[in-house]
Amino acid sequence: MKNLTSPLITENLSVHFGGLQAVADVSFAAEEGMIHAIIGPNGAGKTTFFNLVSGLLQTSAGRIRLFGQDVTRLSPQQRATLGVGRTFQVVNIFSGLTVLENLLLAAQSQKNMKFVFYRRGTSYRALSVKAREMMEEWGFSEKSDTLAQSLSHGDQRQLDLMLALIAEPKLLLLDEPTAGLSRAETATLTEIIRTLSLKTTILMIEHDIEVAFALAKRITVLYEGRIFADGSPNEIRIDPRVKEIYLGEEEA
Amino acid sequence: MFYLRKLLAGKSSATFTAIGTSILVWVILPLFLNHYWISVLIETLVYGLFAMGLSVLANYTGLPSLGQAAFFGTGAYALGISLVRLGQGQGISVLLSLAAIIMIAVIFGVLVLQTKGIYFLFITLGLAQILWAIAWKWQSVTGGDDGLVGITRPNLGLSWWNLSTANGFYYFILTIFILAFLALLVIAKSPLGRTFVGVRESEVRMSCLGYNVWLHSYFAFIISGFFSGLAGILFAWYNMFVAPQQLSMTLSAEGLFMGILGGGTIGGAFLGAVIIVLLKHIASLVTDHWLLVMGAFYIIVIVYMPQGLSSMLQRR
Repeated sequence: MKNLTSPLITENLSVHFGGLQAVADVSFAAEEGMIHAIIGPNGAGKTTFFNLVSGLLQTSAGRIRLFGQDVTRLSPQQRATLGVGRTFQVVNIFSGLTVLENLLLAAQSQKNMKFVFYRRGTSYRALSVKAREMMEEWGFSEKSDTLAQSLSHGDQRQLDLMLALIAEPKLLLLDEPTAGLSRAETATLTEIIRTLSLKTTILMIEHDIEVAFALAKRITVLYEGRIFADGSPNEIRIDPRVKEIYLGEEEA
Repeated sequence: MFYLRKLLAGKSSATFTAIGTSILVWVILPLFLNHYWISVLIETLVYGLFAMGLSVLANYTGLPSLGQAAFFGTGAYALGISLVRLGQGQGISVLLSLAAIIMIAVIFGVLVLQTKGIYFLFITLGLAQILWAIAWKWQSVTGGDDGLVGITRPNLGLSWWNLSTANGFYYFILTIFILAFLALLVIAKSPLGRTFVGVRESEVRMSCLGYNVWLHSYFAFIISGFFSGLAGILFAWYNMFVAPQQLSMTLSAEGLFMGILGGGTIGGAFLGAVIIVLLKHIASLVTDHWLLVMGAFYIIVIVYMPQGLSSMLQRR
C-alpha cells in the first residue's frame, strides 16, 4: 500500500456510460510536489479520469482518496474545499465578468464572506490585493476591467488557470493547458507550470508530447480507459508499445 | 451612509449619476402631473420593483422563472387578508405579509431548484398557478374572482405627510422603492451577488471552485422573491383591491419581458418596467386595441433588440 496521505490515490477506478467502459480499473497514485503527466490517444479516458477525480462524474466502481481521505462519494465542491483545483480542456471561465471579477469570485470561494450580501465585494482588501498581485504577476494588470469573453484564446487559458490557482489548491489538475496556444504562448505557460510545481502537486493531461516530456517527472499512458504504461519520461519515450498506439492513431 | 459612499467610490460612479438623476426626476415629476399620471408613476415604481426582484433570478442568476407573480400575489393577498379578514393593523399586516413571502420563497425554492431550463420554467409556472387557483376558489378568504376589497392605506401619523393625498402616497411608495432599489444594488455588488452571476456563467466552474451551486441559487431565489413580493404589498396599498390577476402568468411573463427589455441589469429592469407601463397607458388612451400595440412591441423588441435597450445604449 502506498503512502496514505498522497495527494491522490485511486483504487480500481472505473466508470462506464451504458456499454462503453470509459475508465477501467485505474489504480493510480500521485506523488506530492511532482508534475505528473497523463497522455494517450483521443478517447483514452483522460478527461473522464479528471472528471472522476474532481467529482463531476460519479464512479461506477473503485475508490478515490484525496490527501488521505476517501472522497468517492463527495461532491465537486467538497473536493474543491479539500484542496483540488482544476482547469478545463474547453476554457471554463466566467465570460460575462471582467478579469478582476473572475479572480475575486474564485478567491472568495473558500471564505465565509461568500455569503455576505450587505457589503461591496471589492471592499475586502485582502482579496483585492491578492487578485491585483496575481494580475500583475501574470501581466494582466492592463486587462483588469476587460470582459473575460473579450480576451484572446491564450489569455482565456491563462485566466482559467489563474481561477484554479487563486484558491490555492494543493492538487492541481490541468486538462490540456497548452491546447490551441501558439508556440510562444506554450513556452510561457510551460515555464509557469514549472514554477507552480514548487508549491503544489500537478497532474496534467497533455496532448503535446514534447511539453509532457519536458515538464513531467512521471508519465502515465492511458489507452482505452486503462493504464497502458507508466514510468519516467525516458522509459515512456523508448517504450515501443507506446510508440505503436500513437503511430497507429496517426495512420488511422 | 458608509456603504453608500463605498458604492459611489468605485467605477460605477456613472451608474450612480444615472440613478441619482432618475431618482431626482421621479421626485420632481409629480409636482407637474395630475392624479392620473401620478398613479401611472406609482405603477412604474410597483412594477419596476417587481421586475428588479425577478431580474436577480432571471438575469443575474440565469434562472428565468414564469412564476414570479406568486410572490407579488402573495404579498398583495397576505396584506389584504390580514387587513380585511383578520382586522390586523398595518404594521402587523406588513410583517405577516413579509413572513408569508419568505415562507413561499423558502418552500418553492426547494421544489423548483430540482430542475433546470424549460422544466424550471414550467415548475415555477405550475406553483404560481396553484396559488392563482387558490385565490380564485377560496371565496371566503380571498373573495374569489371578485377580488379582495376594502384594503386601506397606512397612516404615518405625521401632520406633514398625509398618505390619503395623491402626492403624499406617491412619496411614501417612492421612499420604499428607493430603499429597496439601493438594497438591491448593494446585493448585486456584494460577494454573494457575484456568486449569482458565477452560477449563471458556469455552474461547473463554480462547483470546481468549491461553491455549492444549489445553495447560491436558492439564496438568489429567496432574495428575488422577497423584492417581488414587497412590490405586491405596495400594489395592494396602491390599488386597495387585489384580484387573482396579481397571481397570473401574464404578470410573470411581463416581468420577464421588462428584464429583457432592460438588458439584464437591475436598473435596466426598472427602465423596462417604466417603458412597458407608460406604453400601456399611452396606447390605451389612444386606441381600444392597445393590446395589439403591446403585442407588436414585444415582437419588435425580441426580434430586433434581443439584448434589450440598456445594452444598446452602452454600445454607443
